[in-house]
Amino acid sequence: MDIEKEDLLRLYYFLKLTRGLEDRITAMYRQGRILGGVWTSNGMEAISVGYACALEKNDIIAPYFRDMGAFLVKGITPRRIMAQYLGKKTGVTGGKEGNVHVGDINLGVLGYPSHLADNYPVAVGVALSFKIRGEQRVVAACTGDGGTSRGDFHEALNMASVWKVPVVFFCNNNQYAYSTPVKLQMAIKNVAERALAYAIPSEIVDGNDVVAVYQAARNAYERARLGEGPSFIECKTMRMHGHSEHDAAKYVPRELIDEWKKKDPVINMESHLISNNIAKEEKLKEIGEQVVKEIEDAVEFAEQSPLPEGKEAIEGVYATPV
Amino acid sequence: MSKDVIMPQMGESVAEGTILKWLVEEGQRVEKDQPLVEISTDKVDTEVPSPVAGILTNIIHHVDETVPVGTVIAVIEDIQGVLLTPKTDISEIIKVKPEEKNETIEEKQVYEKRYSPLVRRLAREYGIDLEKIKGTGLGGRVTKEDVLEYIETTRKISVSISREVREAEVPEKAIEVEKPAEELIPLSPKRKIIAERMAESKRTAPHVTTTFEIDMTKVARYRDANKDAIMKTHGVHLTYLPFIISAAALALKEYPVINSSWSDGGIILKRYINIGIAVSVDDGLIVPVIKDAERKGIIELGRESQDLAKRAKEKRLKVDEVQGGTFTITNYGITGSLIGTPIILLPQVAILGIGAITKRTVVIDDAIAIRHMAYFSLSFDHRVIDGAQADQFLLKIKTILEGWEAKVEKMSVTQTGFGGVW
Amino acid sequence: MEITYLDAIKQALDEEMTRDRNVFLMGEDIGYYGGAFRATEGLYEKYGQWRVIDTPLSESGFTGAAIGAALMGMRPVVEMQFADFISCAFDQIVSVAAKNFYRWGGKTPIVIRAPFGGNIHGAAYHSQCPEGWFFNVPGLKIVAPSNPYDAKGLLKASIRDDDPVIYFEHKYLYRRIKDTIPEGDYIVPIGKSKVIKEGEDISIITYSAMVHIAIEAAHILEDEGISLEIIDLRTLLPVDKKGIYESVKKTSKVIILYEAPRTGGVGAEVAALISEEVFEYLDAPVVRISAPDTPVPYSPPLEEFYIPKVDDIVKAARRLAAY
Repeated sequence: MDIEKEDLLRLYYFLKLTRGLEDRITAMYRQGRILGGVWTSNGMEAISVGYACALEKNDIIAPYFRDMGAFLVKGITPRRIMAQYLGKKTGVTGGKEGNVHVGDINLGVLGYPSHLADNYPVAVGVALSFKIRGEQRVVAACTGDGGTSRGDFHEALNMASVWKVPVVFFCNNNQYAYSTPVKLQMAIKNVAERALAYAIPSEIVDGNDVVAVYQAARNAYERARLGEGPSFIECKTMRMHGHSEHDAAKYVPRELIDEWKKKDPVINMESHLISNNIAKEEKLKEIGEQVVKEIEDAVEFAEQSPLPEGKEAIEGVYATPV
Repeated sequence: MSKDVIMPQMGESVAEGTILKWLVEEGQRVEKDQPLVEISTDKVDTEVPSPVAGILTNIIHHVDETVPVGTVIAVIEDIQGVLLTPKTDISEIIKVKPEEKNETIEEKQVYEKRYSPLVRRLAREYGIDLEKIKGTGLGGRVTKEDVLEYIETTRKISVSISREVREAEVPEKAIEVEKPAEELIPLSPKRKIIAERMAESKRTAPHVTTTFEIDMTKVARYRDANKDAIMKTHGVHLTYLPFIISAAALALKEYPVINSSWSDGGIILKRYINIGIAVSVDDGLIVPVIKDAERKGIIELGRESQDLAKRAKEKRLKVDEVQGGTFTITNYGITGSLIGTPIILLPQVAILGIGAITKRTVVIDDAIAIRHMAYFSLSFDHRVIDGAQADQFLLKIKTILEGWEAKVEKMSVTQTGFGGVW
Repeated sequence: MEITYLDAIKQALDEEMTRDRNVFLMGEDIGYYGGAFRATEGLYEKYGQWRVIDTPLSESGFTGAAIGAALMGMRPVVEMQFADFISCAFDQIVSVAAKNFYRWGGKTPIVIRAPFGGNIHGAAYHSQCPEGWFFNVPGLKIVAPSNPYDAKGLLKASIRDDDPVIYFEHKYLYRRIKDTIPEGDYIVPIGKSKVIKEGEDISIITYSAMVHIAIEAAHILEDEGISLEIIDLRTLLPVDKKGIYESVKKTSKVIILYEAPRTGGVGAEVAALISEEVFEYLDAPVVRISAPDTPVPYSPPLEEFYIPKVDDIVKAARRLAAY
C-alpha cells in the first residue's frame, strides 16, 4: 500500500521523539534524578510507533512497558510523561504510578499491570465490546517474547479466535526476557507459530523497520474492521539496553548488540527517507531540533511541577465511594 | 506436690457455692475420689470428691462461706511427692505452705478483679469503686449488669449513705441518726394521673369481673410449629399475645357492645377495633394501641405489639399510638398472677386480664391430661354489659383459642419478609 | 409471589439486562445450558448469544475480557461456575481490576458472581468460602446476600456500581430460601448491614447462609432468656462499621459467625475493628465461630464437623452470657 509522505514524516517524528525522550530519561536516571526503575524501548521504537500510527483516533491500545512510542502517538505529551517519571502531580497518573506505567482512558491508552500478558485478555474484552456494539474500532495489544509463555496469552488468543473479535496482537520479540534468551523461553522458532495453533492469521515482520510494521498493522486492522477477526504480528528486534537501565545485561553477547546496532530503526528511517527522496536532510534536522526543544520543555515543566500531597495516597481507591 | 481443691461449677449458670460441711479434717489423710466436702449451689447440693490421694493440709474456706466458682477452697498435699521418713512431721510439711497461701489469695484476686473495658469505663464515668460491687458473672466477675444495677440502686439512696459515712469517720461525735419510720415520696405527674384515672373508673363504672379457664395447648403447639419459620422469614419472635389479640378482636366483632362507650345519650358502638396492650414501664403503666386489630394476622400483631412495647419502655411512642383504644388487654400473667380483677380504662367498657399460662392437670373425657392452662378475667362496666353478654364474649375467645389449627399463617400483601420498609 | 434465592438473582440479571444494554453475561455453560445451577436459565433465549456468552474454560481470560469490556463502558457480569475457580482469575482480579481506577483512572465496573459455601457434599473445590482471599485487596468490593430480597437488590447495586464487585451467592441457599419480594426495581445499597433480629444480650455478626443458623439459635436461646441480636453484614468489603458498632454498644457481647476458615477471614477483621474502636463497650472478649483451618472435607461426619452448627452458637452464647 502507498503511504503518504505526511504519514512517513509522522512516523519519523515519533521515532525521534521516543528515542530522544527515553535517552533523556535514561540520562536523568543515571544522574539520580529519577527514583525507582527505568525500562526503555531503545532499539525497539519502530514497533510501538509503527503499530500506533496505523490506528485511527477512536482505536484503543493495550500496551506494555516497552510501548513509549505508542503512548506518544496516542497523544500523551512528553510533559506528562516526564512529570510521571518525577512522580509529580501533573504526571499521567498524578503520582499514583511510576515511570512507564501509564494509562489514559480518554486517549484510548489502557493502563496495564507489571504482569506480562495480563493486557491480552483485557484487549480481547475491549474488542468484544466493539463487536457487541457494532463499532468499527480495533484494539492493538502488545507484549514481549516472555509474555507469550503466560497462560493469559494463550487464553486471550483462544477467546479472540473463538469469538472472532477485532483485536490485533503484537509481540515485541527482542530475544531476551530479562536474562532469559528465547531459546530458554520456548521450543518453537517463532512466536508467530503460536497464533496458528489458535487459527489466527499470523505474520513476522522486521521490528526495526517502522514502515514494515506500519504496513502490517494497517492490513491487520483493516481485516479486523471488516469482521475477519484477530491477527497476530511478531516483530523481530533486539533489546539494545538491559532489561532495565540498571541491568548491565552482560549475558547478551557483544556481537549480537554490535550486529543490531547497524539496524538502528531511527537511523534506518532517516536513511530510507533521504535515499528515497521522501524528505530532505534539512527537514529531518528540523524535526530533530523540534524534538529536542519539546523534550527540554517537558523536563522543565516536570521539574517545576508540584509533588502530590501525602494524603492523596488514600484517595481514588473506589470510583463509587461507599 | 500439692493439689488445689476448687469450688466446682455445678451447672452452667452457677457462679458460686457454699460450703456446708468438711468431711475430712485438716491434717487428715484422704484417698482419691473420697468425699472431701459438702457444698451447696443454686442448682444442687453435692459432695465433692478429692481430686488426689494425700493429706488435706490446708482448709482455706470454711463452713457457711460462699465463694465464687473456681476459688481454691483447700489444698491437698500429694503424698507421692513427699518422702515420709520416720522423722518427718506432718506439721513441718504444713509449715511449707505460706507461699501456697499467697498464691491462692492472689488467684482469687485476679479472678475477682477481672474488670472488662466496659465495666471500667462505667466505673470511671459514674465514680464507682468496683470493689464495692458483688460480681455475678463467671467466677465472680463484676458484669455490666452488676454495675448498672449498682448505679441504679445507689443513686437513689446516695444521700443517706454519705451521711452514714461521715458519721463513721467521727465516731466520738456520733449521734444515732434514726432512720425515719415513714418516708414521703412525692407524687410524680404520672402517678397522679394514674391515681385519678383508676379512682374515676371505679367510681363511675360498676365493675364486675368474670373468669374463664382457657386451654392454650393448641395455640402452644401452633406456636412451636411455626415460630422458627416466622422468625426466619419475618424477624418476629412469636409469643402468645398475638394469638390472644387476634381472638379478642374477632370476638369484639361478634359482640360489639363490648367494644363501646357509655354516654348519657346512649351506648356508642364503635365500628373500629383498636386494642390497647398494657405495658408496665418503670414509673407506672402505659397503653399503646394496635389499630384495626381485626384486620391483622398474628405475624403483624406480633411485630406491632413487640415494637410498641419496646418503644413504650424507651419512651419513644408517638401521641396517636396511645390514643383511640376501644378495648384493652393486660397481661399480668408474665409477673405470675393467675387471676386478677383489672380496672377498666375509661371510656372503654371492658378490659381483659390474662393470667399466667401454666401446665396443669385437667380432665378431658374423664381422663387426666396435662395442658397449658390460663385464667382469662374480663372486667366489664355493668351499666353497659350484662353478665350473660360478658360470658358469651369470653366463651367466644375461648372457642377461638382452644380451636386454633396448626396451619401456616398467610402474610398480608403489603408486608415483606427481609428488607422492605421496617 | 414467592421466589427462591436463585430466581431472585436471575430476576436481577434479567431486569438489569433489559434496563441497560451495556449489561451482558459471561461464563461457562451459562448460555445454552442455562448455567450449572440454572441461574441464567432462559436468558440466552431472551437476549441472544452475544449478551449471554458461553466462554471457553478460561477464568483468567474471560475475567480479563470482562475488564476490557468494562473499560469501554460496558457492564459485564461474569459467572464463576464455583467460587473455588475464582483462584484462576486471581491475577486479573487483584492486579488489573482492583487497581485500574487508583493507578490510572480506569473505571472497571465488573461484577463477578461466585457460588460459594458448603454443606452440599462438594468437598474441597465445590464448597469453599474464598472471600478472605480478596478481602485484603483495596479497590475491590465484596458482597454476600443471605436472602432473596437482598440477593436481588445487592446484585442490582453491584451491577450499577462503578467498581469491581465480587458477589458471593451461597449455593446451599439457592432453592432452600424463598420469600416474597417486590417485582420491579429496587436497590440494596452496598456498604450497609442489616439488623435481622433485635436483641439485648449478645450481638451475633454474620452473613450469608450462617444468618439462618443464627436465627435458629436465637429461638433456642430466647427460650432460655438469652436475647440475641443478629446483624447480617450483607457487604463484606467495605464492611459496615457503623452497623457493627451500634450493635456492640447495645449488647457489649459479640459473636462473629462465618463459614470460612478461621484464620484471616472477615471474622478476624471484624473482631479487630471491634476491639480497636469500641473496646470500652465490651463486657467480654470477642468470640469467633467459624470453620476450622482445613480444606473442606467430603465425608458427611467430617463436613458436619467442619461447618458451624446451631449447637456451636448456642453453646458459645450460653458461655458468653454467663461470663
